[in-house]
Amino acid sequence: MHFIRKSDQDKTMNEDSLNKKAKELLDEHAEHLDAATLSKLHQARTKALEKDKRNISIGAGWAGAGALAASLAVGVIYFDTQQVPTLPAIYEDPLQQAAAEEMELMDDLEFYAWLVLQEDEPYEDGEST
Amino acid sequence: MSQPSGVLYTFTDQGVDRGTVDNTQQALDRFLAGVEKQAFRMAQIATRNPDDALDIVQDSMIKLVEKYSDKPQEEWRPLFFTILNSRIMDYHRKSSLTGRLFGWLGSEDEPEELEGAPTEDGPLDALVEELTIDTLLSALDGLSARQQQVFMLRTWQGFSVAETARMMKCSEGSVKTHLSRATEALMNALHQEE
Repeated sequence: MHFIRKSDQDKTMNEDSLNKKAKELLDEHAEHLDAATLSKLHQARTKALEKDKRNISIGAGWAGAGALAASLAVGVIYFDTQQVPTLPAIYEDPLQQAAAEEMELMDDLEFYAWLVLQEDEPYEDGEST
Repeated sequence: MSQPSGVLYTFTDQGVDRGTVDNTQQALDRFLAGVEKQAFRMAQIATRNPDDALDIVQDSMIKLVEKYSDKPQEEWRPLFFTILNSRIMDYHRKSSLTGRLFGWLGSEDEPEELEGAPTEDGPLDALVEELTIDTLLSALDGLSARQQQVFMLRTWQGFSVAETARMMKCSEGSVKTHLSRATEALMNALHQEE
Protein backbone atom coordinates (compact mmCIF):
# COMPACT_ATOMS: atom_id res chain seq x y z
CA MET A 1 0.00 0.00 0.00
CA HIS A 2 1.23 3.45 -0.86
CA PHE A 3 0.96 6.11 1.82
CA ILE A 4 1.06 9.81 1.08
CA ARG A 5 1.62 12.26 3.88
CA LYS A 6 -1.04 14.90 4.32
CA SER A 7 1.56 17.62 3.96
CA ASP A 8 2.62 16.13 0.61
CA GLN A 9 -0.99 16.03 -0.52
CA ASP A 10 -1.48 19.65 0.52
CA LYS A 11 1.69 20.65 -1.25
CA THR A 12 0.60 18.92 -4.46
CA MET A 13 -2.83 20.55 -4.26
CA ASN A 14 -1.23 23.92 -3.65
CA GLU A 15 1.10 23.48 -6.60
CA ASP A 16 -1.71 22.38 -8.87
CA SER A 17 -3.95 25.31 -7.97
CA LEU A 18 -1.02 27.70 -8.17
CA ASN A 19 0.04 26.42 -11.58
CA LYS A 20 -3.53 26.59 -12.84
CA LYS A 21 -3.88 30.16 -11.64
CA ALA A 22 -0.52 31.11 -13.11
CA LYS A 23 -1.53 29.69 -16.48
CA GLU A 24 -4.78 31.67 -16.43
CA LEU A 25 -2.94 34.87 -15.60
CA LEU A 26 -0.32 34.34 -18.31
CA ASP A 27 -3.00 33.50 -20.91
CA GLU A 28 -4.80 36.70 -20.06
CA HIS A 29 -1.54 38.65 -20.06
CA ALA A 30 -0.75 37.41 -23.57
CA GLU A 31 -4.17 38.41 -24.87
CA HIS A 32 -3.74 41.97 -23.72
CA LEU A 33 -1.09 43.35 -26.00
CA ASP A 34 -1.09 46.92 -27.23
CA ALA A 35 -1.89 47.71 -30.85
CA ALA A 36 1.71 48.60 -31.73
CA THR A 37 3.02 45.25 -30.52
CA LEU A 38 0.23 43.37 -32.31
CA SER A 39 1.10 45.23 -35.50
CA LYS A 40 4.80 44.34 -35.15
CA LEU A 41 3.92 40.71 -34.54
CA HIS A 42 1.76 40.74 -37.67
CA GLN A 43 4.68 42.19 -39.64
CA ALA A 44 7.01 39.54 -38.24
CA ARG A 45 4.60 36.80 -39.28
CA THR A 46 4.22 38.27 -42.76
CA LYS A 47 7.98 38.51 -43.14
CA ALA A 48 8.40 34.89 -42.08
CA LEU A 49 5.77 33.69 -44.53
CA GLU A 50 7.42 35.68 -47.33
CA LYS A 51 10.55 33.66 -46.69
CA ASP A 52 8.52 30.53 -47.32
CA LYS A 53 7.13 31.95 -50.59
CA ARG A 54 10.65 32.86 -51.65
CA ASN A 55 11.82 29.35 -50.87
CA ILE A 56 8.96 27.92 -52.90
CA SER A 57 9.76 30.23 -55.82
CA ILE A 58 13.40 29.27 -55.71
CA GLY A 59 12.42 25.63 -55.41
CA ALA A 60 10.01 25.96 -58.31
CA GLY A 61 12.76 27.67 -60.31
CA TRP A 62 15.12 24.81 -59.68
CA ALA A 63 12.34 22.33 -60.43
CA GLY A 64 11.67 24.16 -63.70
CA ALA A 65 15.35 24.17 -64.56
CA GLY A 66 15.55 20.49 -63.73
CA ALA A 67 12.47 19.77 -65.83
CA LEU A 68 13.94 21.75 -68.71
CA ALA A 69 17.22 19.85 -68.47
CA ALA A 70 15.36 16.54 -68.26
CA SER A 71 13.19 17.50 -71.22
CA LEU A 72 16.21 18.45 -73.28
CA ALA A 73 17.90 15.20 -72.37
CA VAL A 74 14.78 13.23 -73.26
CA GLY A 75 14.47 15.17 -76.51
CA VAL A 76 18.07 14.52 -77.46
CA ILE A 77 17.73 10.82 -76.70
CA TYR A 78 14.40 10.69 -78.55
CA PHE A 79 15.65 12.34 -81.69
CA ASP A 80 18.87 10.39 -81.55
CA THR A 81 17.04 7.07 -81.47
CA GLN A 82 14.28 8.17 -83.90
CA GLN A 83 16.61 9.30 -86.67
CA VAL A 84 15.62 8.17 -90.24
CA PRO A 85 17.32 4.81 -90.78
CA THR A 86 19.77 4.28 -93.63
CA LEU A 87 17.69 2.87 -96.44
CA PRO A 88 18.86 0.06 -98.68
CA ALA A 89 20.49 1.25 -101.90
CA ILE A 90 17.59 0.04 -103.93
CA TYR A 91 15.25 2.61 -102.28
CA GLU A 92 17.62 5.52 -102.33
CA ASP A 93 16.35 7.19 -105.48
CA PRO A 94 13.94 5.61 -107.99
CA LEU A 95 15.20 7.82 -110.77
CA GLN A 96 18.80 6.79 -110.21
CA GLN A 97 17.69 3.17 -109.98
CA ALA A 98 15.88 3.42 -113.28
CA ALA A 99 18.88 5.04 -114.90
CA ALA A 100 21.08 2.30 -113.61
CA GLU A 101 18.75 -0.34 -115.07
CA GLU A 102 18.77 1.52 -118.40
CA MET A 103 22.53 1.44 -118.43
CA GLU A 104 22.54 -2.28 -117.79
CA LEU A 105 20.09 -2.82 -120.62
CA MET A 106 22.20 -0.71 -122.95
CA ASP A 107 25.26 -2.72 -122.03
CA ASP A 108 23.39 -5.91 -122.71
CA LEU A 109 22.22 -4.65 -126.08
CA GLU A 110 25.73 -3.65 -127.04
CA PHE A 111 26.95 -7.06 -126.02
CA TYR A 112 24.34 -8.83 -128.05
CA ALA A 113 25.08 -6.64 -131.08
CA TRP A 114 28.77 -7.36 -130.80
CA LEU A 115 27.99 -11.06 -130.45
CA VAL A 116 25.97 -11.05 -133.69
CA LEU A 117 28.76 -9.28 -135.48
CA GLN A 118 31.22 -11.84 -134.24
CA GLU A 119 29.11 -14.66 -135.53
CA ASP A 120 28.81 -13.06 -139.00
CA GLU A 121 32.55 -12.42 -139.49
CA PRO A 122 34.84 -15.22 -140.78
CA TYR A 123 37.53 -16.61 -138.55
CA GLU A 124 40.77 -14.79 -138.95
CA ASP A 125 42.87 -17.87 -138.54
CA GLY A 126 42.35 -18.63 -142.29
CA GLU A 127 39.93 -21.36 -141.81
CA SER A 128 37.80 -21.43 -144.96
CA THR A 129 34.15 -22.31 -145.05
CA MET B 1 4.45 22.84 -81.56
CA SER B 2 7.31 20.41 -81.42
CA GLN B 3 7.24 17.50 -79.00
CA PRO B 4 10.03 18.64 -76.60
CA SER B 5 8.16 21.87 -75.74
CA GLY B 6 5.03 19.93 -74.89
CA VAL B 7 7.01 17.67 -72.58
CA LEU B 8 8.52 20.74 -70.86
CA TYR B 9 5.14 22.27 -70.09
CA THR B 10 3.90 19.00 -68.64
CA PHE B 11 6.92 18.73 -66.37
CA THR B 12 6.54 22.35 -65.21
CA ASP B 13 2.84 21.93 -64.48
CA GLN B 14 3.56 18.90 -62.34
CA GLY B 15 6.44 20.64 -60.56
CA VAL B 16 4.36 23.43 -58.96
CA ASP B 17 1.24 22.37 -57.11
CA ARG B 18 -0.18 25.80 -56.29
CA GLY B 19 -3.09 24.46 -54.26
CA THR B 20 -0.84 22.61 -51.81
CA VAL B 21 1.46 25.61 -51.46
CA ASP B 22 -1.48 27.93 -50.65
CA ASN B 23 -2.88 25.48 -48.10
CA THR B 24 0.47 25.22 -46.31
CA GLN B 25 0.84 29.02 -46.31
CA GLN B 26 -2.62 29.46 -44.81
CA ALA B 27 -1.99 26.76 -42.19
CA LEU B 28 1.34 28.36 -41.27
CA ASP B 29 -0.30 31.78 -41.01
CA ARG B 30 -3.02 30.41 -38.72
CA PHE B 31 -0.49 28.54 -36.59
CA LEU B 32 1.82 31.54 -36.16
CA ALA B 33 -1.11 33.85 -35.44
CA GLY B 34 -2.19 31.43 -32.74
CA VAL B 35 1.14 31.29 -30.92
CA GLU B 36 2.67 34.72 -31.52
CA LYS B 37 1.18 36.51 -28.52
CA GLN B 38 2.21 33.89 -25.98
CA ALA B 39 5.60 33.58 -27.66
CA PHE B 40 6.08 37.32 -27.36
CA ARG B 41 5.14 37.34 -23.68
CA MET B 42 7.50 34.43 -23.00
CA ALA B 43 10.34 36.24 -24.71
CA GLN B 44 9.47 39.55 -23.05
CA ILE B 45 9.44 38.01 -19.57
CA ALA B 46 12.76 36.30 -20.33
CA THR B 47 14.52 39.32 -21.84
CA ARG B 48 12.74 42.13 -20.01
CA ASN B 49 12.92 43.99 -23.30
CA PRO B 50 10.03 44.20 -25.81
CA ASP B 51 12.27 44.93 -28.80
CA ASP B 52 14.55 41.99 -28.10
CA ALA B 53 11.44 39.86 -27.53
CA LEU B 54 10.06 40.82 -30.93
CA ASP B 55 13.37 39.98 -32.59
CA ILE B 56 13.40 36.58 -30.91
CA VAL B 57 9.83 35.82 -31.94
CA GLN B 58 10.47 36.90 -35.53
CA ASP B 59 13.66 34.82 -35.75
CA SER B 60 11.76 31.83 -34.38
CA MET B 61 8.97 32.29 -36.92
CA ILE B 62 11.42 32.56 -39.81
CA LYS B 63 13.37 29.51 -38.66
CA LEU B 64 10.19 27.44 -38.38
CA VAL B 65 8.96 28.53 -41.81
CA GLU B 66 12.30 28.06 -43.54
CA LYS B 67 13.31 24.75 -41.99
CA TYR B 68 10.26 22.94 -40.76
CA SER B 69 7.19 24.06 -42.75
CA ASP B 70 7.27 20.74 -44.58
CA LYS B 71 6.90 18.83 -41.31
CA PRO B 72 3.48 17.54 -40.20
CA GLN B 73 1.40 20.33 -38.69
CA GLU B 74 1.09 18.58 -35.33
CA GLU B 75 4.88 18.93 -34.98
CA TRP B 76 4.94 22.68 -35.56
CA ARG B 77 4.05 23.67 -31.98
CA PRO B 78 6.80 21.72 -30.19
CA LEU B 79 9.24 22.71 -32.93
CA PHE B 80 8.34 26.38 -32.64
CA PHE B 81 8.68 26.48 -28.86
CA THR B 82 11.94 24.54 -29.07
CA ILE B 83 13.28 27.20 -31.43
CA LEU B 84 11.91 29.98 -29.24
CA ASN B 85 13.47 28.47 -26.13
CA SER B 86 16.77 28.06 -27.94
CA ARG B 87 16.70 31.72 -29.04
CA ILE B 88 15.92 32.86 -25.49
CA MET B 89 18.78 30.81 -24.04
CA ASP B 90 21.11 32.17 -26.75
CA TYR B 91 20.04 35.66 -25.73
CA HIS B 92 20.93 34.95 -22.11
CA ARG B 93 24.31 33.49 -23.10
CA LYS B 94 25.15 36.57 -25.13
CA SER B 95 23.91 38.81 -22.34
CA SER B 96 26.07 36.95 -19.86
CA LEU B 97 29.08 37.41 -22.08
CA THR B 98 28.54 41.12 -22.17
CA GLY B 99 28.10 41.14 -18.43
CA ARG B 100 24.63 42.56 -18.46
CA LEU B 101 23.11 39.55 -16.77
CA PHE B 102 26.25 37.97 -15.42
CA GLY B 103 25.50 35.41 -12.74
CA TRP B 104 21.82 35.29 -13.56
CA LEU B 105 22.03 32.00 -15.45
CA GLY B 106 21.66 29.01 -13.19
CA SER B 107 23.53 25.73 -13.50
CA GLU B 108 21.46 22.88 -14.86
CA ASP B 109 22.58 20.37 -12.27
CA GLU B 110 22.76 22.70 -9.34
CA PRO B 111 19.86 25.09 -9.48
CA GLU B 112 20.49 28.24 -7.61
CA GLU B 113 19.06 28.50 -4.13
CA LEU B 114 15.98 30.61 -3.90
CA GLU B 115 15.64 33.52 -1.60
CA GLY B 116 12.65 34.02 0.61
CA ALA B 117 10.85 32.20 3.33
CA PRO B 118 10.53 28.43 3.20
CA THR B 119 7.35 27.09 1.72
CA GLU B 120 4.59 26.57 4.21
CA ASP B 121 2.55 23.45 3.92
CA GLY B 122 -1.19 23.69 3.97
CA PRO B 123 -3.90 24.80 1.55
CA LEU B 124 -3.48 28.29 0.22
CA ASP B 125 -6.30 28.38 -2.30
CA ALA B 126 -7.44 31.74 -0.99
CA LEU B 127 -3.98 33.16 -1.54
CA VAL B 128 -3.76 31.64 -5.00
CA GLU B 129 -7.03 33.29 -5.96
CA GLU B 130 -5.53 36.63 -5.01
CA LEU B 131 -2.44 36.10 -7.10
CA THR B 132 -2.03 38.94 -9.58
CA ILE B 133 -0.10 39.10 -12.80
CA ASP B 134 2.29 41.62 -11.26
CA THR B 135 3.15 39.28 -8.38
CA LEU B 136 3.52 36.41 -10.80
CA LEU B 137 5.79 38.38 -13.16
CA SER B 138 7.85 39.58 -10.24
CA ALA B 139 8.31 36.01 -9.02
CA LEU B 140 9.17 34.78 -12.52
CA ASP B 141 11.69 37.60 -12.84
CA GLY B 142 13.53 36.22 -9.82
CA LEU B 143 13.97 32.78 -11.33
CA SER B 144 17.03 31.56 -13.17
CA ALA B 145 16.72 31.44 -16.95
CA ARG B 146 16.31 27.68 -16.98
CA GLN B 147 13.79 27.62 -14.15
CA GLN B 148 11.80 30.27 -15.93
CA GLN B 149 11.82 28.40 -19.24
CA VAL B 150 10.84 25.11 -17.62
CA PHE B 151 7.94 26.85 -15.91
CA MET B 152 6.84 28.47 -19.17
CA LEU B 153 7.03 25.30 -21.23
CA ARG B 154 5.69 22.88 -18.64
CA THR B 155 3.14 24.91 -16.70
CA TRP B 156 2.02 27.51 -19.22
CA GLN B 157 2.34 25.68 -22.53
CA GLY B 158 1.48 22.30 -21.07
CA PHE B 159 4.31 20.25 -22.56
CA SER B 160 5.07 16.99 -20.79
CA VAL B 161 8.19 16.51 -18.67
CA ALA B 162 9.71 14.39 -21.46
CA GLU B 163 8.88 16.98 -24.14
CA THR B 164 10.23 19.82 -22.02
CA ALA B 165 13.43 17.87 -21.38
CA ARG B 166 13.92 17.32 -25.12
CA MET B 167 13.17 20.96 -25.89
CA MET B 168 15.65 22.16 -23.28
CA LYS B 169 18.22 19.45 -24.02
CA CYS B 170 18.38 18.34 -20.40
CA SER B 171 17.30 15.35 -18.34
CA GLU B 172 13.76 14.83 -17.11
CA GLY B 173 15.14 14.98 -13.56
CA SER B 174 16.48 18.46 -14.24
CA VAL B 175 13.10 19.55 -15.56
CA LYS B 176 11.41 18.32 -12.37
CA THR B 177 13.99 20.01 -10.18
CA HIS B 178 13.73 23.32 -12.04
CA LEU B 179 9.94 23.19 -11.94
CA SER B 180 9.87 22.40 -8.26
CA ARG B 181 12.15 25.33 -7.53
CA ALA B 182 10.08 27.63 -9.70
CA THR B 183 6.86 26.60 -7.98
CA GLU B 184 8.47 27.10 -4.59
CA ALA B 185 9.50 30.59 -5.62
CA LEU B 186 5.95 31.39 -6.65
CA MET B 187 4.61 30.10 -3.35
CA ASN B 188 7.14 32.17 -1.49
CA ALA B 189 6.07 35.20 -3.47
CA LEU B 190 2.48 34.51 -2.51
CA HIS B 191 3.32 34.25 1.15
CA GLN B 192 5.30 37.46 1.01
CA GLU B 193 2.25 39.17 -0.48
CA GLU B 194 0.17 37.86 2.40
